Amino acid sequence: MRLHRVRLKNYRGVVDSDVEFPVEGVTVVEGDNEVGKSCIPEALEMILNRLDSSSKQPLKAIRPVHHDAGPEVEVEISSGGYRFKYFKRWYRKPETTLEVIAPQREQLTGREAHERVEAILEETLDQDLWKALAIEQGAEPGLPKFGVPSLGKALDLAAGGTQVASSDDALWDRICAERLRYWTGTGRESQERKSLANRVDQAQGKIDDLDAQLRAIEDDAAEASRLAGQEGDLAFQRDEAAEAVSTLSKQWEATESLRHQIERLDSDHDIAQAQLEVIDGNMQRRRELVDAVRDRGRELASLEEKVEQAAPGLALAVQQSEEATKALRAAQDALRTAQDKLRLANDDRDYRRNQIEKDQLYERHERVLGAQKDLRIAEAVLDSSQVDDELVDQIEQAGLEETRAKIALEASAASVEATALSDLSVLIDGQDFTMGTNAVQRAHVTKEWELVVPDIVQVRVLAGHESQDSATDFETAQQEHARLCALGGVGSLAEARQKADERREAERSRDDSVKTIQENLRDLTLEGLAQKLEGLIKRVSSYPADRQQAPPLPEDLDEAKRVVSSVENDASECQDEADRCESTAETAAKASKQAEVGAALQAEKLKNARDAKTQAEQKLEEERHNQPDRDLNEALSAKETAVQNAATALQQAESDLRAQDPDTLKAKLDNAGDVKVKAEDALRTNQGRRRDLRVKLEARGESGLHSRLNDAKSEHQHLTREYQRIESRAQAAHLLHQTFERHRQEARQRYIAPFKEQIEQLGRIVFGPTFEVELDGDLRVAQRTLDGKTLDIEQLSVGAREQLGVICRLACASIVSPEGGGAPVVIDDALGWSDPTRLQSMGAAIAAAGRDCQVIVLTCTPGRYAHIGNAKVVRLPA
Amino acid sequence: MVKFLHTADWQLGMTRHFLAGEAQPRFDGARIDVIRTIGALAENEGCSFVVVCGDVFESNQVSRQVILRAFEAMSAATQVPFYLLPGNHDPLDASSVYKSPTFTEHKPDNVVVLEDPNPVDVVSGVELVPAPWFTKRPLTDLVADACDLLEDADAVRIVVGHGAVDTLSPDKSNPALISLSSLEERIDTGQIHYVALGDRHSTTDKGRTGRVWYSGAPEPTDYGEINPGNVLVVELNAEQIQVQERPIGDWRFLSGERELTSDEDLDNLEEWLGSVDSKERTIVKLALIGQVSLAQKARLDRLLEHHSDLLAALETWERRSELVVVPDDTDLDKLELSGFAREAVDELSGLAESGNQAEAARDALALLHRLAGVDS
Repeated sequence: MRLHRVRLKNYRGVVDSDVEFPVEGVTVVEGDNEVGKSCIPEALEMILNRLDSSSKQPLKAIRPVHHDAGPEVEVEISSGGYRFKYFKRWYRKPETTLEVIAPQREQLTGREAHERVEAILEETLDQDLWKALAIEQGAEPGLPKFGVPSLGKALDLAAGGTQVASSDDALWDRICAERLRYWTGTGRESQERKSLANRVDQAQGKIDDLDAQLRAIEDDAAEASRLAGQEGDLAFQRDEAAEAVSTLSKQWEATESLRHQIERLDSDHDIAQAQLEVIDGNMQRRRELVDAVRDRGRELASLEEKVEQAAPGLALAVQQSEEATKALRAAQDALRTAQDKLRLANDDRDYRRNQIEKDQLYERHERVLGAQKDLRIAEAVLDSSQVDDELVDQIEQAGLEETRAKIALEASAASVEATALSDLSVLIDGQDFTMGTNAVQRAHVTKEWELVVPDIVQVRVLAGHESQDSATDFETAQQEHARLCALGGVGSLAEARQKADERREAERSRDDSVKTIQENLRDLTLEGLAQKLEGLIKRVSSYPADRQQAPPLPEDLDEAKRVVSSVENDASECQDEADRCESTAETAAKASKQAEVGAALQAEKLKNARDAKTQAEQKLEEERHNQPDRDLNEALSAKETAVQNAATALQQAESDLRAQDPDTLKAKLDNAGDVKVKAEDALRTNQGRRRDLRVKLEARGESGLHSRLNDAKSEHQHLTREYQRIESRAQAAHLLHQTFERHRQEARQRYIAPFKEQIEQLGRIVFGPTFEVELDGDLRVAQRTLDGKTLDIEQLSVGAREQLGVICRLACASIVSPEGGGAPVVIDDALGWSDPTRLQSMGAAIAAAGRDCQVIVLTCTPGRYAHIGNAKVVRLPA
Repeated sequence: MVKFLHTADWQLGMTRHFLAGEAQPRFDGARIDVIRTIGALAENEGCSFVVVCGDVFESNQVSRQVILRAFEAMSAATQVPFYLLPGNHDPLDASSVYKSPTFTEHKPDNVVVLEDPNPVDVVSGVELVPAPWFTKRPLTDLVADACDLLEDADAVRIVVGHGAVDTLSPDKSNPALISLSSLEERIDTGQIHYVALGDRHSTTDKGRTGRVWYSGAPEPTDYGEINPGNVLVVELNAEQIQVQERPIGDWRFLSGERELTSDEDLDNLEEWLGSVDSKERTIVKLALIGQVSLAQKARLDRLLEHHSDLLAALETWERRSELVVVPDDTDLDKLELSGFAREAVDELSGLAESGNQAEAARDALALLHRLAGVDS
């Protein structure tokens, strides 16, 4: 479609405006918003779509602002092979006129005209494309939403494809839908097909199962027949075996008597043998008895000899034991004597030692008593005098202090001299004095001095301050001196010194006494010491009287010690001797005891041996009495002959039996019996099995397996057919879809390439030589690449998106538009987001596109599109 | 003269896989009904008895229901005894239906199973000589065996047998084939007087004597049965015999091969299908060969679908069908496709001509037709 001219009259704010558009190239329509540059696209919409009789809301808006006239629009358009002028007026004198100029002249009015235009546009203009190519002011700046089929179709056509009917898209949808009936989106078989295949398998499974059951029945029936056949054979086998058993049994019985004879002979032989053994046993026992008598005799002799040999040893041992006992007793006596001597010697030594100790203790006791007396004296001194060296020093110091204070006082005190001028009595410091004439009373006034002449005068002398202080000091020193003397109970320093010396002496005496006491008491108390001393005295005094006379008491302790030592040696020797004798006596006693026990044992053994010998002799005697040796020998030889005879007879009989081969006979008989039993068993088993089969078949035959199998087969066949039908449909749908899809893609590739190329060509003008785009399935720009950097379209700035949007439209239009096809690109004040540099290059791009299609730019900011070089600029009158 | 009714091959319990939905029960019902018809016919004709020459039941493992319904139908003709011969489908083996509790407990008085080859006196002076099957695969000519047991007698003897006769049987090695010539010899010598056979579903007079007959099945059971749906009313003595075919079957099996190459062929097919009588009891199998266009195939499909609903069953004979659907230019033009769609269709047309994807491609084109809605 091409727009040649648009005339507006009484349209909104526009009184009358007539704009012509070149068929190719860019037309920039400038006008203020109010003037209505946007009126042009709106007016186009109105005239193409609204009847002149319409009074709908949008139409109300286009009525002129200040005056009462019907808005008019007139356009001249070419589209496809058509070119026509078209006029409409609304509200006031509504009117529609159409003048078709090409291909054939036509003149129409009213509704007819309206419908004719609609028909022409329907035939020649892709409405979707027309809308997509327009950019309205204020709309979201961005990429055009081309209807894919529409743009695709247009591009395809431009790329040399043939006209595609719109019904094809619906067909494609139906192909896709049909495919999805049998296939999943990812190309797997659909659930329905899978479940159908499953059902076919299940039906087959059912058939197999039923088939197997039927086969089992058939097999059972066949087995039953076979068993019935076998039964005759088995009965025959059984009868045959029974006959064999009967024949063989008769033969077997014939050998029976022979076997009985053998048994009897065998028994005879066994009996004779047993009897022989008894006699043999008797013989044996007789021999044993004889041997026993001999052996017992030998044993007795041997024992008697032993007893005889043992007798002297026993006597010697007894004697030795007695001697040893005697020696032991002597040694023990000697030891006791020695021990007595030792005790006396010890006592003597102790006595001498006690004597010495008693003397020592006595001395210590005396010393303690003396020291205690000294101690008491010294303590009395110490108690009575408190004057020690320290106090002496203090007294001495206080005396010096007092003297010093006194000197100071005297130096500072006022000297008062009162001279009585007549005899008079005065009171000095409250004390009566009688003074004669010229008597002088002197005083050093340290504090206050008062002289009163009664009734005459009172003189008070007051010492100065310094003097008073000195007086106080002196008083204090004096008092301290006095206090300290009093403390020591002394009157003077010399006395104090005397006292201190006395005290020191007493202290020394006390310390000495204490030391003496300690040294002599040591660990004892005085009472303990006294007791001990007393005990010793008692013991020492009584000892000589109590002691035996001889030997004489040793002279002194040393002598006593020597005696002890000597006696100790004697005692020790005696002890050794006694020990040795004791050991010897013990050994001898043991040996003697042993010898006695041995002798007793031997005596017992001897007695036993004698008894045993007697018993054996008695037994043998008894036996011989019962059966003399000769009889016994005769019986033995007779029985041996009998056994020999029985054995010979038995061997003969056995040899007879062997000649008849009873083993083979027995084996045959047993086997025949077994065969019979086996045949009977087999027959029973056979009958049992047949019965089982019959029961089983009866039970199963009733279940109508055959009908069920037929049903299952029917079902399987129906399902299989259905399955095959569905499968071939699925394959057909798949192939159809696949083929269409491939051709669709190929076709798309055919027209996408030039579209992409065109976008990039225009885009490079704006963005530079590295500009590339990627289109998605909806033919929209999905990615933009610049300087090797690829960004998704959403990541771009609004400005860049807007520019891309314009470029896409221009690219599309310039591809589809040659030879009057497609539709004009209408840009209503877009690029508000673009900076001046971009605007400049966009201008160049629009200009470039304008060479191939019709571009109409509407703007109220004239500068924005100044860079479109070849644009025709139309200014709408205000 | 003794008069009796000769039938065979009831094959009760048979199911036909091609009978879908309600047709199978009707088919089953018809096969029970025909027993009643037989009983009534026998009574009306004054037949002394009915012999059923084997394959009374489709299998030894038929359901209880089948047995009971058959008894119910037979017991309707109280005056006519039914003599049932075990055949190859229902041999008297250990699993035999004739030994089943249902059978033995509910068997009506007028039903007799021919359980062994001993002759049975049916009416005075008339003996049945049965040759029952004891297994599915007998190893001898059972009919001959039964006849071998016969002793000389004056009675009219009717042999009751089942199986294929040796003349014209394709399987000469089968030891169970019935020797026709030996039967004819026995007929010639007057040892036997009629041989009532079952197994062949087409009514057939065998051999030269006119006394050896297959009665055929009373209701057809399959395609290719030449003259089914009859019973025989037989009247004979040693000298004379009269055998009458009585058609009593209601159902029909039709099969046909049609070549389809033009719209006229389709017209003819439509006319032929339209002319079939008693459609609800007719089972048709078609072998279709030839080549049709997409539009013709669509018409054929509609035609077949229509008659499927009318007929008891309408099968296509897969094995013998060779119908190629080739889209012609008209078909493709009708699609009014352009652009890539046209290219895709051209490619599919190419594929449809030959190669292993030809069938799928033809189907795809047919599908496209359907989706494009040009043939609706």
